[in-house]
Order: sequence, then structure tokens, then C-alpha cells
Amino acid sequence: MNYTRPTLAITIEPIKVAFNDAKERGIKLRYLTEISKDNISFCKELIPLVDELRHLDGIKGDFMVSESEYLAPVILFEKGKIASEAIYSNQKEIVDQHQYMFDTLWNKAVSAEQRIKEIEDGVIGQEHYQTIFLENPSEVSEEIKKAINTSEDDSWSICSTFDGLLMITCNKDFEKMQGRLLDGSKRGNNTRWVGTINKDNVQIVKAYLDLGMKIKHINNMPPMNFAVSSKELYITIDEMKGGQIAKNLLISNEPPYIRHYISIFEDLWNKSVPAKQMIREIEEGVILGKTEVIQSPEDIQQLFINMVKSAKYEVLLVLPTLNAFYREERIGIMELLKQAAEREHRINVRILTPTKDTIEDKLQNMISASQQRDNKREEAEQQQMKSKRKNFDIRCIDVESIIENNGAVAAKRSAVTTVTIVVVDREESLVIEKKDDSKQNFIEAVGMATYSNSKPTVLSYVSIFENLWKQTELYQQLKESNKQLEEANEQLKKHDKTQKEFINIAAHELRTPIQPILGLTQVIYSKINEDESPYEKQKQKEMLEVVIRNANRLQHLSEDILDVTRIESQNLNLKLELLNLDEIILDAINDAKRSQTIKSVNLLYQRDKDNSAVFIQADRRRLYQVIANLISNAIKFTKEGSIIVNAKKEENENKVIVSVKDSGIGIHREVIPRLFQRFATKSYQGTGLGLYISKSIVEAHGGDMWAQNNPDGKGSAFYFTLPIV
Amino acid sequence: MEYSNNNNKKKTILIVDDETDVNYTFETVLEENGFMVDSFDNPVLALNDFKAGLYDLVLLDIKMPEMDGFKLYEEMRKVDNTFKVCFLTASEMFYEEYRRAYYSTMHERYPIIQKPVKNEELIKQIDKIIASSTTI
Repeated sequence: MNYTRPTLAITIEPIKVAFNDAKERGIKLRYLTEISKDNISFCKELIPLVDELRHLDGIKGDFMVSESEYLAPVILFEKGKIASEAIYSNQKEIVDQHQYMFDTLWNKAVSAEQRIKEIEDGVIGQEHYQTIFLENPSEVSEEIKKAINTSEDDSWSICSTFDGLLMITCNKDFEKMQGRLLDGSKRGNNTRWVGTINKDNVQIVKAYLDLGMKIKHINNMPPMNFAVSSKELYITIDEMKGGQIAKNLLISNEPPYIRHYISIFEDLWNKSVPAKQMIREIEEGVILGKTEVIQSPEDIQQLFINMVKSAKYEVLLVLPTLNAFYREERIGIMELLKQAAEREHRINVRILTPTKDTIEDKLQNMISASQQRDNKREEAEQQQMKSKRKNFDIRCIDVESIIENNGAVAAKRSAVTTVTIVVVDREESLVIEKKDDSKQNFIEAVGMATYSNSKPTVLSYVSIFENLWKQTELYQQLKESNKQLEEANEQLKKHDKTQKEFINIAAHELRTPIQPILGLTQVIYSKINEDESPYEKQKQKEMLEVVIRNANRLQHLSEDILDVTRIESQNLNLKLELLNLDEIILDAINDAKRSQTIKSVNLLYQRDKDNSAVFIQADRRRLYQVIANLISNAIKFTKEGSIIVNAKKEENENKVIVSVKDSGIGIHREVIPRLFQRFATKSYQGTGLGLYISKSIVEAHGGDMWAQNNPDGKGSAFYFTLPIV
Repeated sequence: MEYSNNNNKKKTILIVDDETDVNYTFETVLEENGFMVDSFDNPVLALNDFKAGLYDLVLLDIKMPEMDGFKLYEEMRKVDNTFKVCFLTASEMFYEEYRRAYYSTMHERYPIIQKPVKNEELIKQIDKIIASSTTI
């Protein structure tokens, strides 16, 4: 029925009743009409009356057909009128013919619900969503022309061979399209074209590029060409060779298709390279290469194998885990690499793997296997073999040990070792992610991979490899030197122990013999026979005094030598305690006064104005030794005058300066530079070790010691500092 | 030449030092200064002969073969807990560490005289130890 009829079916009661009656009898009613804005409300009422209502554009005639009868009212578009005459037939041919015609139209129609929704959504006033397929070149041409003329949208996204561009350019019918595309570009509209640029089409691409079209290059085109705007989609599977008009065309304005193709386009556009870059590549012969992501594990495996097979001179391989090694061995990579290395000795294979005992055994077997084979060959070839074996080199990234030694590296571990990296001839790289390292099968274990033959990318991987390679060398060296250090340390410890033992034994052996000499000469001295003549008594006393004096000297010397040994073997251990400096100084002064003959020398202790006690952390015996040594030296070189010991706090610097100043002969010019060195003395009484020992003791306490001749030319002064608590 | 002030009753001293000459020297010097002295150059023999109440003071060398001075002291203490003790050493002053390492049960502090020692100093120290009120 044409668009005027649904109104009648609702408004004329008898028709409505007849429809209801038929329905009740179980008769299937199919109603086909053109649903428009005018009759939409009646059509809605009609829906429950019939079994199914459909819409078809531009229905002009009216007829009804049942299984046995045909009826056509003789009327066209008079609204609200029932035809006064009708054509009727029950002849089988007529009925069949019209049943066929109805079914044909019915199948082309769309459901009333869809049509009503379209009208109510206001998406289309007159037109509706549709997808049509044209197979006639003239129709195609016509449709394209129509699209160009009626389309309001200048933002076209086109993915097509550049033969399509040629088609638009060469065909007069499409002049307007050319204009629109370019005008669009000029107005800042976004007409984008992506296709495969090659030597043959580079000229036309350049021409349009110059005119302002946005063009990009992609290597792998989808197997169809399409143009999509926000409202329309055109697809052809024709290649449009040489600019011929496409022989088929699919046109659609259905939003889901349009959205789908826009997303396909955006994806392609993002993956593609700017046309200028590709043109440069073609015209200047620069190979910029490509980098792509491969998702399929099967493809990755095939590519991996192909790459290794195609190697001409070098294969670099980084394996992330032991399992990766086994997987790659299982798919035959290791065997291929071995063959590659052996094949005419040309291909250099280097592999970096994590070290584990098992893998090392395995590698050792591989290497020794090829060695055995080598041995069977002729003598003359032996030398060559050696160099050949270097073609196949495996090193271990000893990740575990690095981590043991330095926890901070742990984070880097995953970064280095989660991917397999293979670089062939420094021209191609393949980086394979592992998804599940527990899987034995290569295909199950890998995630995706990135392939590249772009120089910067490939060379980056080469440099990563070389760095890791070098690192293994450095690590090996590090391990070696660590071992050496440990050994040296062990030696030092042993040496230290020996030193201590030596000091202990030396001390015992040096000291013990002195005891009888000192002790017994003194006893003898006290027992000199009173009956002897005074001369004889004097003589005996003198002799014993020489023995005693020299025994004392021997005792001092042995103590000094032991001190020097302790200092030089770093065994001068201090027993630190909190001490009052005044106490120690006064002890030393009093002891000196008691034991030495200083009748004509005045020995004094002076404190600075502030008389508060000075507390220090020091070894009592050692500090006493230092002060006593300085006082004893001063006495030795001072015949008359005074020796003044002074202690002065330097609050700012948290230290105390102790000085021993004498008015003696001063320090000999020649001695000054080596005053604190061993055996520096000019005196015949000392061991020449005292100042060296004293300075070492002070330094061990964190202080310093120095000396100078007094500015007035009389005597010298020795100073030392100690930190104050 | 007598340095000792202890003239009322002769004090008894036991010396144990494996160096025979040192032993002889100390014995001589101490006897010259009015002490009653016994000496042993073997610590085991010294222990065998040791009896309670014999000595006011025991002088023990630390480093000796078979039994060191600390061990000997421990054993002697089991027999007599009234004598006073003083150790002698010519070795390095590591004995504190040594004593702590091997005789953790000994909590007392002991006088130690470093050899060689001048006679005057030796007598002074011994007088001081004998005069002190503690057993050590």
C-alpha cells in the first residue's frame, strides 16, 4: 500500500473490523507501506492489528494478495478515499506472480519499528539508515558524484591505494571532488589519506601534499579501500589500478559501521609514517626502516627462526632466564646458531644467558662437542678451528651474584632480563616479551614482540648487548679481584696475628733477662763488703753502677722497640678512660723530680687563667709516657734555668694544648726536619725512639704534636694537643 | 738493702715462675728484704705441695707451661681462701682479655706486676698487697 493507505485502515471501521476478524481466524497479515512523518501515528496503531508492518521507500502501487486471491484497488494517492473499482483475480498465475512480487518487496523493506525510530529520532527527514552495494561502474561513478555534490562534510578520512587518488585526478566527473578535498584542506578541515607510497605513486602523492592534503604512509594496507566521514562510509575492494573507476562500491550511513571504520582509520593513521619521510626514503634511497609490534606468538616464533637463518655475519642473543634457554633450544634456535657459527666460519654468534650450574654444564657440553669435532679434523685445520670456536661464544649474566653483592641492583634485574633480545647482522632486531616463564612451550610462554630494522633502534640493542657483554667481563674481573682481596685480607689477618704473637714473644724474651741483671746487681750493690778498702769499695760500686745503668738502658730500649713495633703493625691499642689532665701532668712532674737529678733546673706546671679541670678520653699509661718523655728530654738538654709545663684550653676548637718549654740548648738545626722520625737523636743517651713514639701516641688519641726553638734563642718548646671531652 | 717495713713477724711468700733465673732473683731479693720465701719453677709441683695456711702471699707468673697462673690460682683457692695473690708477667698486657676469655668465673681484680721490676718497686707493691684488708 502506498503511504496514504494506513490512515484508511485505522479510520474506516469496516477495514479495521475485517483486519481484526482475520487475525482472530489465525490469518497471517503482512502490511508493507511507506512510513512517513504524515502517517506515522496511524502506522503505530496499525502495528498491533497486523502480524508485521514493514517500510519501503517510495511504494507507488496498492495491492493485496492471499494464498488464492489477488485484489488491487484502482486508486493512487487520493487521501481518505476508497477506490471505487478494483482488479480482482483468483487465477493461479496472477496470484503467484503477485505473491512473488510482494515477497521481493517485503525482503527489501525495513521493520516499522526501525523506521519509526529513525523518524522520531529526527536522524533523517527523508532518508534513512541504509547500506547498499553497487556493482555497476556507472552506478558507482554516479553515486560517488552524488556523494560529493550532496555531502556537507569536508572531513574525510581515506585509506586507499593511491590509485584511488589517481582515479579522482584523472576522471573529469570527480573534478569537483578534487576541489572539495583540497578546499577542505585549505579551510583547515581534516582530510587525511593513508596508503602505501612507492616509486610509482610518489609523484601524485607529492602533488597533493603540496596542495595541502595530509598524507601518511603505511606498509601493510587492509585489503580494501575506504573513505569515511562523520556521516558516510564508502568501501571498495577494487584496486582502481591505474586510476580506473572502482567496479564496486559499498555505501553506508549506518553509525555503527561509520564508527567502526573511523576507529580502523585512526589506528592505521597512528601507525603510519609521515609521507615526507617516506618520500625522502624513496627519492634519496635512505632506508629508515620500520618498527612494528607482533602479537601472534606463532608469527614471532617463525620470524625468530627466519631471522637466525637469514643471518650473514652476526647473531647477538640475550636470554632472560634458564627456561628461555630451554624453550629456544626446543624450537631449534640453539642448533641453528651452532650451525650458523660452523657454516663456513663466517657467522659470529654471541649469547648472554643467566648462569646456573645446569646451563653451564649444557653450554660446556655444546662447546666441547664442537671441540671434539674439531679434533677429528686435519692438523692443519686445527688452528683455524680455534679461531672458529670463538665464533660461538656464550657468557653468563651472573645476575644472582650481582644481587647478592649489591641489593640495589635487584630492581634492575627485571628490567634487563624479562625480554629475549635477538639482533641479526646489526640490521634487524627482535625483542620478545615473556608472558609466563613457567611454560615449556615457546608459543605459550611469549607475549608480544617488537621487530625493527630501523637503524637507530637496532643499534641501540646492539649497544645494550655490547654493554652487557662487557659487563660480564668486568664482573668476572671484579669477582677475581674480590677473591684476591679476600686472600690478601686473609694474609693480612694472618700477618696481623703473627705480628701480635711476635710482639708478645719479643716482649717476654726481651724483658725476662733484664730482671735478674737488675734485681741481682742491686742486691750485690747493697752487699759490697764493708771490709774492703775504700778504693776497692768505690771501684766495685762504680762497676755495678755501670751494669745497673746499662740494664736500665736495655730495659728502656726494649720497651721503646716494642712500642715502635706496636705502632708500625697498628697494634697500639689504647685503653681509653676519662682522665683529669692535671693529675697526669702532676704525676709525671713529681716522678721526674724524684727520680732525676735536676738540682739546678726549676720544673714547673702552669695552667692558663681558667683553672677548671680539663677532662680527656685517654690511655692513662700512654699519656703519662708522652708527658714523661717530653719532660725527660727537656731535663736531658737543660743544664740550668727552667722547664715549664703548660696546659691551655682552646674552647673554640674543643682541644687542649700541652706544652713543655725549656731553656736548654735547643734543637739542632739538622735534626729539626726529622725530629719525630725514628733514631733522630743527637744525644748519646736516648734510643732515638721517644719522640716518634710520643707523636704516634698523641695521634692515636686524635691529637697532634710539634716543636720549635724558642724565639728568644734559648731552648725549645714541644707542643701537643688532645681533644677535650 | 731492706725496703720492707714489715718487721714484726716474717711474712711467707710462695713464688711460682717457670723462669728459673727470675725465680732465683725474686727469691733472693725478697729474702734480702726479710720475707720467708718458697719457690717453684713448675706450677704442677707447686700445686701438689700447696697447703692451706702456709703463705701470706702467692706470686704467680701468668704464662707457664702445663698450667697458667690463673688456673693455678683457681686450684690453690680451692685449698686455701686466705692467701693474697699477685700475678707477674713479662708478656704483653693482653692478660685481661685472656683472663676474661678463659676464666669468666673470676670476677675479682688482681694486682699484676710487670717484669722487669726494680727491687724497690717490687717490695713497695708487695708491702701494699700484704697490708691491704682484702684477700687479694
